[in-house]
Amino acid sequence: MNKLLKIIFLGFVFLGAVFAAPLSLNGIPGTQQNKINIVAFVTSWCPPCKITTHYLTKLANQNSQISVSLLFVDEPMQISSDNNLHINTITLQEARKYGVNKSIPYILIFDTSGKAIKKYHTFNPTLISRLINNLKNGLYENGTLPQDERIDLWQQNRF
Amino acid sequence: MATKQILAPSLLFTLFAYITIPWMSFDGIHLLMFHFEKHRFEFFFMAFESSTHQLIYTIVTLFIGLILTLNFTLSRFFCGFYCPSALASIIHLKFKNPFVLFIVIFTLAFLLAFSTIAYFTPAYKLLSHYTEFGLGAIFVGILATLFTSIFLLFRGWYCSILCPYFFVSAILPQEGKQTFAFKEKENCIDCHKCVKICPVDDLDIKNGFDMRCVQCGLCEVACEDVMMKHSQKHSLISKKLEKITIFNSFSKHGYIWGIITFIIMIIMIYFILDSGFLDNCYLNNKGLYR
Repeated sequence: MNKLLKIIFLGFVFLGAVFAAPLSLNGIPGTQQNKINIVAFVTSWCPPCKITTHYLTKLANQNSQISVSLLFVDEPMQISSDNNLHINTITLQEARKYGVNKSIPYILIFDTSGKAIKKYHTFNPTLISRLINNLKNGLYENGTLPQDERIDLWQQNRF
Repeated sequence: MATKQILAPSLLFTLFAYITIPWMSFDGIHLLMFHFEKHRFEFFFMAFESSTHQLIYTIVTLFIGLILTLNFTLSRFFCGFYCPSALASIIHLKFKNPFVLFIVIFTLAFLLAFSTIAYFTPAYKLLSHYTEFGLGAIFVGILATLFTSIFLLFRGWYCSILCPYFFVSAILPQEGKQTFAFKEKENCIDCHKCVKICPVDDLDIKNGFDMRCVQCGLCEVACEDVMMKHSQKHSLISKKLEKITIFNSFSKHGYIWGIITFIIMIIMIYFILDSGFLDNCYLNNKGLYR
Protein backbone atom coordinates (compact mmCIF):
# COMPACT_ATOMS: atom_id res chain seq x y z
CA MET A 1 0.00 0.00 0.00
CA ASN A 2 2.78 2.32 0.99
CA LYS A 3 4.67 1.49 -2.18
CA LEU A 4 1.59 2.15 -4.30
CA LEU A 5 1.13 5.56 -2.71
CA LYS A 6 4.76 6.37 -3.47
CA ILE A 7 4.33 5.40 -7.10
CA ILE A 8 1.17 7.49 -7.42
CA PHE A 9 2.94 10.43 -5.80
CA LEU A 10 5.90 10.11 -8.20
CA GLY A 11 3.41 9.82 -11.04
CA PHE A 12 1.94 13.19 -10.06
CA VAL A 13 5.39 14.74 -9.76
CA PHE A 14 6.54 13.53 -13.15
CA LEU A 15 3.16 13.88 -14.85
CA GLY A 16 4.46 16.59 -17.14
CA ALA A 17 7.50 14.58 -18.10
CA VAL A 18 5.48 11.39 -18.73
CA PHE A 19 2.98 12.98 -21.10
CA ALA A 20 5.36 15.48 -22.70
CA ALA A 21 5.57 15.02 -26.42
CA PRO A 22 9.16 14.54 -27.60
CA LEU A 23 10.48 17.23 -29.87
CA SER A 24 10.17 15.86 -33.34
CA LEU A 25 10.72 17.15 -36.83
CA ASN A 26 7.24 16.21 -38.00
CA GLY A 27 5.39 19.40 -37.12
CA ILE A 28 8.08 21.84 -38.16
CA PRO A 29 7.77 23.15 -41.70
CA GLY A 30 10.73 22.93 -44.02
CA THR A 31 12.72 20.17 -42.36
CA GLN A 32 14.26 17.26 -44.24
CA GLN A 33 14.88 13.65 -43.29
CA ASN A 34 18.42 12.20 -43.20
CA LYS A 35 20.03 15.58 -42.77
CA ILE A 36 21.27 17.64 -39.87
CA ASN A 37 18.36 19.99 -39.21
CA ILE A 38 18.76 23.39 -37.64
CA VAL A 39 15.52 25.12 -36.69
CA ALA A 40 15.90 28.76 -35.64
CA PHE A 41 13.07 30.91 -34.26
CA VAL A 42 14.04 34.45 -35.21
CA THR A 43 12.62 37.90 -35.89
CA SER A 44 13.69 40.60 -38.27
CA TRP A 45 13.95 43.37 -35.64
CA CYS A 46 16.31 41.83 -33.12
CA PRO A 47 20.07 42.41 -33.70
CA PRO A 48 21.27 38.93 -32.57
CA CYS A 49 18.57 37.38 -34.79
CA LYS A 50 19.98 39.24 -37.79
CA ILE A 51 23.41 37.79 -37.09
CA THR A 52 21.83 34.33 -36.63
CA THR A 53 19.94 34.59 -39.91
CA HIS A 54 23.06 35.70 -41.74
CA TYR A 55 25.19 32.93 -40.22
CA LEU A 56 22.70 30.13 -40.83
CA THR A 57 21.99 31.25 -44.40
CA LYS A 58 25.70 31.05 -45.13
CA LEU A 59 25.92 27.68 -43.40
CA ALA A 60 23.06 26.24 -45.46
CA ASN A 61 24.53 27.46 -48.73
CA GLN A 62 27.93 25.95 -48.00
CA ASN A 63 26.92 22.55 -46.63
CA SER A 64 24.72 20.07 -48.45
CA GLN A 65 24.22 17.84 -45.37
CA ILE A 66 22.61 20.64 -43.38
CA SER A 67 19.03 21.80 -43.68
CA VAL A 68 18.21 25.15 -42.10
CA SER A 69 14.68 26.23 -41.29
CA LEU A 70 14.23 29.86 -40.28
CA LEU A 71 10.93 30.53 -38.54
CA PHE A 72 9.99 34.20 -38.14
CA VAL A 73 7.89 34.63 -35.01
CA ASP A 74 4.74 36.73 -35.39
CA GLU A 75 5.86 38.42 -38.58
CA PRO A 76 4.54 38.51 -42.11
CA MET A 77 7.42 37.13 -44.17
CA GLN A 78 7.72 35.89 -47.70
CA ILE A 79 7.77 32.11 -47.53
CA SER A 80 10.61 30.72 -49.60
CA SER A 81 12.06 27.27 -49.91
CA ASP A 82 15.53 26.71 -51.27
CA ASN A 83 17.39 23.44 -51.45
CA ASN A 84 18.72 23.63 -47.91
CA LEU A 85 17.19 26.87 -46.66
CA HIS A 86 13.55 27.28 -45.73
CA ILE A 87 12.00 30.51 -44.54
CA ASN A 88 8.63 30.36 -42.88
CA THR A 89 6.44 32.21 -40.41
CA ILE A 90 5.07 30.99 -37.11
CA THR A 91 2.77 32.49 -34.53
CA LEU A 92 4.07 33.07 -31.02
CA GLN A 93 1.53 30.64 -29.57
CA GLU A 94 2.71 27.94 -31.94
CA ALA A 95 6.34 28.74 -31.20
CA ARG A 96 5.76 28.37 -27.46
CA LYS A 97 5.06 24.66 -28.02
CA TYR A 98 8.66 24.24 -29.15
CA GLY A 99 10.09 26.10 -26.17
CA VAL A 100 10.17 29.78 -27.09
CA ASN A 101 9.58 31.54 -23.79
CA LYS A 102 10.60 35.18 -23.35
CA SER A 103 13.62 35.68 -25.54
CA ILE A 104 14.63 35.23 -29.12
CA PRO A 105 16.60 33.71 -31.02
CA TYR A 106 15.84 30.12 -30.07
CA ILE A 107 17.76 27.46 -31.95
CA LEU A 108 16.99 23.73 -32.07
CA ILE A 109 19.46 21.26 -33.55
CA PHE A 110 18.42 17.76 -34.69
CA ASP A 111 20.78 14.99 -35.75
CA THR A 112 20.36 12.87 -38.89
CA SER A 113 18.00 10.43 -37.18
CA GLY A 114 15.62 13.29 -36.34
CA LYS A 115 16.37 13.42 -32.62
CA ALA A 116 16.55 16.83 -30.94
CA ILE A 117 19.99 17.01 -29.37
CA LYS A 118 20.52 20.64 -28.42
CA LYS A 119 18.57 23.82 -27.83
CA TYR A 120 20.10 27.26 -27.52
CA HIS A 121 18.39 30.35 -26.13
CA THR A 122 21.24 32.51 -27.45
CA PHE A 123 23.32 32.61 -30.59
CA ASN A 124 26.92 31.48 -30.15
CA PRO A 125 28.73 30.76 -33.45
CA THR A 126 31.65 28.86 -31.88
CA LEU A 127 29.38 26.43 -30.01
CA ILE A 128 27.17 25.83 -33.04
CA SER A 129 30.05 25.33 -35.48
CA ARG A 130 31.77 22.87 -33.11
CA LEU A 131 28.55 20.93 -32.62
CA ILE A 132 27.86 20.76 -36.34
CA ASN A 133 31.42 19.65 -37.09
CA ASN A 134 31.02 16.80 -34.62
CA LEU A 135 27.69 15.78 -36.13
CA LYS A 136 29.07 15.89 -39.68
CA ASN A 137 31.92 13.57 -38.67
CA GLY A 138 29.47 11.05 -37.23
CA LEU A 139 30.33 11.81 -33.62
CA TYR A 140 28.16 12.57 -30.63
CA GLU A 141 27.46 16.22 -29.94
CA ASN A 142 30.19 16.31 -27.30
CA GLY A 143 32.77 14.88 -29.70
CA THR A 144 32.78 11.23 -28.59
CA LEU A 145 32.20 8.21 -30.82
CA PRO A 146 28.80 6.50 -30.85
CA GLN A 147 28.52 3.72 -28.32
CA ASP A 148 28.85 0.75 -30.66
CA GLU A 149 31.98 2.17 -32.25
CA ARG A 150 33.78 2.86 -28.99
CA ILE A 151 36.72 0.63 -28.07
CA ASP A 152 36.55 0.48 -24.32
CA LEU A 153 39.42 -1.38 -22.70
CA TRP A 154 37.33 -2.85 -19.92
CA GLN A 155 34.96 -4.40 -22.44
CA GLN A 156 37.78 -6.35 -24.09
CA ASN A 157 39.07 -7.94 -20.88
CA ARG A 158 42.48 -6.34 -21.21
CA PHE A 159 42.99 -6.15 -17.45
CA MET B 1 27.17 84.37 7.42
CA ALA B 2 27.68 81.19 9.29
CA THR B 3 24.13 79.94 8.97
CA LYS B 4 24.57 79.92 5.22
CA GLN B 5 26.82 76.92 5.30
CA ILE B 6 24.43 74.94 7.48
CA LEU B 7 21.59 73.42 5.48
CA ALA B 8 23.00 74.40 2.14
CA PRO B 9 20.11 74.48 -0.34
CA SER B 10 22.09 72.15 -2.57
CA LEU B 11 21.64 69.37 0.01
CA LEU B 12 17.85 69.62 -0.13
CA PHE B 13 17.90 69.99 -3.90
CA THR B 14 19.96 66.81 -4.47
CA LEU B 15 17.83 64.90 -1.98
CA PHE B 16 14.69 66.07 -3.75
CA ALA B 17 16.13 65.13 -7.17
CA TYR B 18 17.36 61.74 -5.96
CA ILE B 19 13.94 60.88 -4.53
CA THR B 20 11.81 62.14 -7.43
CA ILE B 21 13.82 60.90 -10.44
CA PRO B 22 12.70 57.23 -10.09
CA TRP B 23 9.06 58.35 -10.17
CA MET B 24 9.42 60.27 -13.43
CA SER B 25 8.27 58.23 -16.36
CA PHE B 26 6.70 58.85 -19.72
CA ASP B 27 4.89 56.09 -21.54
CA GLY B 28 6.40 53.53 -19.16
CA ILE B 29 9.96 54.70 -19.77
CA HIS B 30 11.82 56.45 -16.97
CA LEU B 31 14.18 59.39 -16.70
CA LEU B 32 16.95 57.12 -15.44
CA MET B 33 16.56 53.44 -14.73
CA PHE B 34 18.53 50.23 -14.91
CA HIS B 35 15.54 48.05 -15.65
CA PHE B 36 16.78 44.54 -14.84
CA GLU B 37 13.35 42.98 -15.13
CA LYS B 38 12.66 44.13 -18.68
CA HIS B 39 16.32 44.08 -19.74
CA ARG B 40 16.64 47.68 -20.73
CA PHE B 41 18.59 50.79 -19.82
CA GLU B 42 16.30 53.78 -19.68
CA PHE B 43 17.69 57.27 -19.92
CA PHE B 44 15.88 60.52 -20.56
CA PHE B 45 12.68 58.71 -21.59
CA MET B 46 14.58 56.66 -24.15
CA ALA B 47 15.10 52.93 -23.72
CA PHE B 48 17.91 50.71 -24.96
CA GLU B 49 17.79 46.94 -24.77
CA SER B 50 20.67 45.59 -22.73
CA SER B 51 21.53 42.32 -21.04
CA THR B 52 22.08 41.91 -17.31
CA HIS B 53 25.84 41.99 -17.85
CA GLN B 54 25.65 45.24 -19.74
CA LEU B 55 23.52 46.80 -17.01
CA ILE B 56 25.94 45.73 -14.27
CA TYR B 57 28.96 47.05 -16.21
CA THR B 58 27.08 50.31 -16.84
CA ILE B 59 26.40 50.73 -13.12
CA VAL B 60 30.05 50.00 -12.24
CA THR B 61 31.30 52.44 -14.89
CA LEU B 62 28.87 55.12 -13.72
CA PHE B 63 29.93 54.60 -10.10
CA ILE B 64 33.68 54.83 -10.78
CA GLY B 65 33.27 57.61 -13.35
CA LEU B 66 31.13 59.79 -11.09
CA ILE B 67 33.44 59.32 -8.09
CA LEU B 68 36.45 60.38 -10.20
CA THR B 69 34.65 63.27 -11.88
CA LEU B 70 33.25 64.65 -8.63
CA ASN B 71 36.62 64.26 -6.91
CA PHE B 72 38.39 66.19 -9.65
CA THR B 73 35.80 68.95 -9.73
CA LEU B 74 34.01 69.30 -6.38
CA SER B 75 36.49 67.33 -4.25
CA ARG B 76 35.53 67.32 -0.54
CA PHE B 77 32.84 69.93 -1.18
CA PHE B 78 30.67 67.07 -2.33
CA CYS B 79 30.59 65.68 1.22
CA GLY B 80 29.35 68.88 2.84
CA PHE B 81 27.15 70.13 0.04
CA TYR B 82 25.61 67.08 -1.63
CA CYS B 83 26.09 63.97 0.47
CA PRO B 84 22.98 63.01 2.51
CA SER B 85 25.32 62.22 5.39
CA ALA B 86 25.72 65.99 5.87
CA LEU B 87 21.94 66.30 6.05
CA ALA B 88 22.00 63.73 8.84
CA SER B 89 24.60 65.83 10.69
CA ILE B 90 22.24 68.79 10.55
CA ILE B 91 19.35 66.67 11.81
CA HIS B 92 21.58 65.76 14.76
CA LEU B 93 21.76 69.46 15.60
CA LYS B 94 18.04 70.12 15.33
CA PHE B 95 16.65 67.21 17.35
CA LYS B 96 17.94 66.49 20.83
CA ASN B 97 15.32 63.90 21.85
CA PRO B 98 16.88 60.50 20.93
CA PHE B 99 13.52 58.96 20.04
CA VAL B 100 12.55 61.79 17.69
CA LEU B 101 16.09 61.77 16.30
CA PHE B 102 15.85 58.08 15.52
CA ILE B 103 12.46 58.47 13.82
CA VAL B 104 13.66 61.36 11.65
CA ILE B 105 16.96 59.67 10.73
CA PHE B 106 15.20 56.41 9.96
CA THR B 107 12.68 58.20 7.72
CA LEU B 108 15.51 59.83 5.80
CA ALA B 109 17.37 56.52 5.53
CA PHE B 110 14.25 54.71 4.35
CA LEU B 111 13.53 57.38 1.72
CA LEU B 112 17.10 57.13 0.43
CA ALA B 113 17.09 53.32 0.44
CA PHE B 114 13.73 53.17 -1.33
CA SER B 115 14.91 55.64 -3.98
CA THR B 116 18.16 53.74 -4.50
CA ILE B 117 16.36 50.45 -5.15
CA ALA B 118 13.79 52.33 -7.27
CA TYR B 119 16.55 52.99 -9.81
CA PHE B 120 16.59 49.25 -10.55
CA THR B 121 12.92 48.38 -10.47
CA PRO B 122 9.93 50.74 -11.01
CA ALA B 123 8.96 52.62 -7.86
CA TYR B 124 5.26 51.79 -8.03
CA LYS B 125 6.16 48.09 -8.39
CA LEU B 126 8.52 48.35 -5.44
CA LEU B 127 5.55 49.47 -3.33
CA SER B 128 3.75 46.26 -4.22
CA HIS B 129 6.84 44.29 -3.15
CA TYR B 130 5.83 45.11 0.43
CA THR B 131 2.59 43.19 0.14
CA GLU B 132 4.19 40.25 -1.65
CA PHE B 133 7.38 40.12 0.45
CA GLY B 134 9.39 40.63 -2.73
CA LEU B 135 13.15 40.78 -3.02
CA GLY B 136 13.11 44.55 -3.59
CA ALA B 137 11.51 45.16 -0.19
CA ILE B 138 14.21 43.06 1.48
CA PHE B 139 16.93 45.08 -0.26
CA VAL B 140 15.26 48.32 0.85
CA GLY B 141 15.23 46.99 4.41
CA ILE B 142 18.92 46.08 4.31
CA LEU B 143 19.90 49.44 2.81
CA ALA B 144 17.70 51.39 5.25
CA THR B 145 19.39 49.61 8.16
CA LEU B 146 22.82 50.41 6.73
CA PHE B 147 21.97 54.07 6.16
CA THR B 148 20.44 54.41 9.63
CA SER B 149 23.55 52.96 11.26
CA ILE B 150 25.79 55.25 9.21
CA PHE B 151 23.75 58.39 9.91
CA LEU B 152 23.14 57.63 13.56
CA LEU B 153 26.20 55.76 14.74
CA PHE B 154 29.21 55.72 12.43
CA ARG B 155 28.88 59.22 10.91
CA GLY B 156 32.36 60.71 10.42
CA TRP B 157 34.04 57.40 11.11
CA TYR B 158 32.35 56.01 8.01
CA CYS B 159 33.22 59.14 5.99
CA SER B 160 36.92 58.94 6.80
CA ILE B 161 37.41 55.16 6.74
CA LEU B 162 34.83 53.30 4.65
CA CYS B 163 33.41 55.74 2.11
CA PRO B 164 34.61 54.95 -1.44
CA TYR B 165 34.51 58.65 -2.23
CA PHE B 166 37.13 59.27 0.45
CA PHE B 167 39.42 56.54 -0.96
CA VAL B 168 39.90 58.64 -4.07
CA SER B 169 39.99 62.05 -2.45
CA ALA B 170 42.59 60.79 0.05
CA ILE B 171 45.15 60.11 -2.68
CA LEU B 172 44.54 63.42 -4.47
CA PRO B 173 46.24 66.65 -3.33
CA GLN B 174 43.90 68.11 -0.73
CA GLU B 175 45.61 70.91 1.13
CA GLY B 176 44.64 73.71 -1.21
CA LYS B 177 41.00 72.66 -1.23
CA GLN B 178 40.17 72.72 2.47
CA THR B 179 38.38 75.94 3.21
CA PHE B 180 37.62 76.02 6.93
CA ALA B 181 40.43 77.29 9.14
CA PHE B 182 40.86 78.42 12.73
CA LYS B 183 41.93 82.02 12.22
CA GLU B 184 42.06 83.74 15.61
CA LYS B 185 43.72 81.28 17.94
CA GLU B 186 44.53 83.96 20.53
CA ASN B 187 40.82 84.61 21.22
CA CYS B 188 39.93 80.96 21.82
CA ILE B 189 38.41 80.16 25.22
CA ASP B 190 39.10 76.40 24.97
CA CYS B 191 35.45 75.36 25.13
CA HIS B 192 36.14 72.48 22.64
CA LYS B 193 32.68 72.92 21.14
CA CYS B 194 34.11 72.61 17.64
CA VAL B 195 35.77 69.27 18.46
CA LYS B 196 32.65 67.88 20.12
CA ILE B 197 30.33 68.82 17.29
CA CYS B 198 32.59 67.54 14.51
CA PRO B 199 31.14 64.35 12.95
CA VAL B 200 34.69 63.04 12.48
CA ASP B 201 36.19 61.57 15.66
CA ASP B 202 39.19 63.38 17.22
CA LEU B 203 39.39 66.04 14.54
CA ASP B 204 40.68 69.29 16.05
CA ILE B 205 40.51 72.16 13.61
CA LYS B 206 42.96 74.13 15.76
CA ASN B 207 45.74 71.81 14.63
CA GLY B 208 45.36 72.97 11.08
CA PHE B 209 44.85 70.96 7.93
CA ASP B 210 43.19 67.59 8.30
CA MET B 211 42.34 65.46 5.31
CA ARG B 212 39.28 63.95 6.99
CA CYS B 213 37.37 67.24 7.11
CA VAL B 214 34.04 66.87 5.27
CA GLN B 215 33.42 70.62 4.85
CA CYS B 216 30.11 70.49 6.68
CA GLY B 217 30.73 73.79 8.51
CA LEU B 218 29.22 72.67 11.81
CA CYS B 219 32.25 73.94 13.76
CA GLU B 220 31.84 77.43 12.33
CA VAL B 221 28.27 77.65 13.64
CA ALA B 222 29.16 76.09 17.00
CA CYS B 223 31.96 78.60 17.52
CA GLU B 224 29.68 81.48 16.61
CA ASP B 225 27.07 80.37 19.13
CA VAL B 226 29.69 80.47 21.90
CA MET B 227 31.34 83.66 20.75
CA MET B 228 28.05 85.58 20.65
CA LYS B 229 27.97 85.29 24.47
CA HIS B 230 31.51 86.62 24.72
CA SER B 231 33.38 89.65 23.50
CA GLN B 232 33.87 88.39 19.99
CA LYS B 233 30.71 88.74 17.96
CA HIS B 234 31.78 86.45 15.14
CA SER B 235 33.04 82.91 14.70
CA LEU B 236 36.75 82.26 15.13
CA ILE B 237 36.53 79.57 12.46
CA SER B 238 35.85 80.83 8.99
CA LYS B 239 36.59 80.14 5.37
CA LYS B 240 40.29 80.23 4.65
CA LEU B 241 39.93 81.14 1.03
CA GLU B 242 36.98 83.36 0.29
CA LYS B 243 37.49 83.11 -3.45
CA ILE B 244 37.29 79.33 -3.52
CA THR B 245 33.66 78.43 -4.06
CA ILE B 246 31.97 75.19 -4.80
CA PHE B 247 32.45 75.75 -8.51
CA ASN B 248 36.13 76.47 -8.22
CA SER B 249 37.31 74.11 -5.56
CA PHE B 250 40.11 72.22 -7.22
CA SER B 251 43.24 73.54 -8.88
CA LYS B 252 43.03 75.27 -12.24
CA HIS B 253 43.44 72.03 -14.17
CA GLY B 254 41.09 70.06 -11.92
CA TYR B 255 38.09 70.86 -14.05
CA ILE B 256 39.83 69.72 -17.22
CA TRP B 257 40.60 66.35 -15.60
CA GLY B 258 37.02 66.12 -14.38
CA ILE B 259 35.57 66.82 -17.81
CA ILE B 260 37.98 64.31 -19.40
CA THR B 261 36.96 61.53 -17.00
CA PHE B 262 33.29 62.39 -17.53
CA ILE B 263 33.66 62.14 -21.30
CA ILE B 264 35.59 58.85 -20.98
CA MET B 265 32.80 57.52 -18.76
CA ILE B 266 30.12 58.44 -21.30
CA ILE B 267 32.12 56.89 -24.17
CA MET B 268 32.58 53.69 -22.15
CA ILE B 269 28.88 53.46 -21.34
CA TYR B 270 28.06 54.04 -25.01
CA PHE B 271 30.50 51.23 -25.88
CA ILE B 272 29.09 48.85 -23.24
CA LEU B 273 25.49 49.38 -24.33
CA ASP B 274 26.26 48.48 -27.96
CA SER B 275 23.64 46.08 -29.30
CA GLY B 276 26.42 43.90 -30.76
CA PHE B 277 27.07 42.53 -27.28
CA LEU B 278 23.50 41.26 -26.94
CA ASP B 279 23.09 37.48 -26.74
CA ASN B 280 19.36 37.53 -27.27
CA CYS B 281 16.42 39.90 -27.40
CA TYR B 282 13.36 39.86 -25.19
CA LEU B 283 9.99 39.77 -26.88
CA ASN B 284 8.62 42.50 -24.57
CA ASN B 285 11.20 44.90 -26.05
CA LYS B 286 9.83 44.55 -29.57
CA GLY B 287 8.52 48.11 -29.46
CA LEU B 288 12.01 49.55 -28.99
CA TYR B 289 13.08 48.53 -32.47
CA ARG B 290 10.36 50.27 -34.43
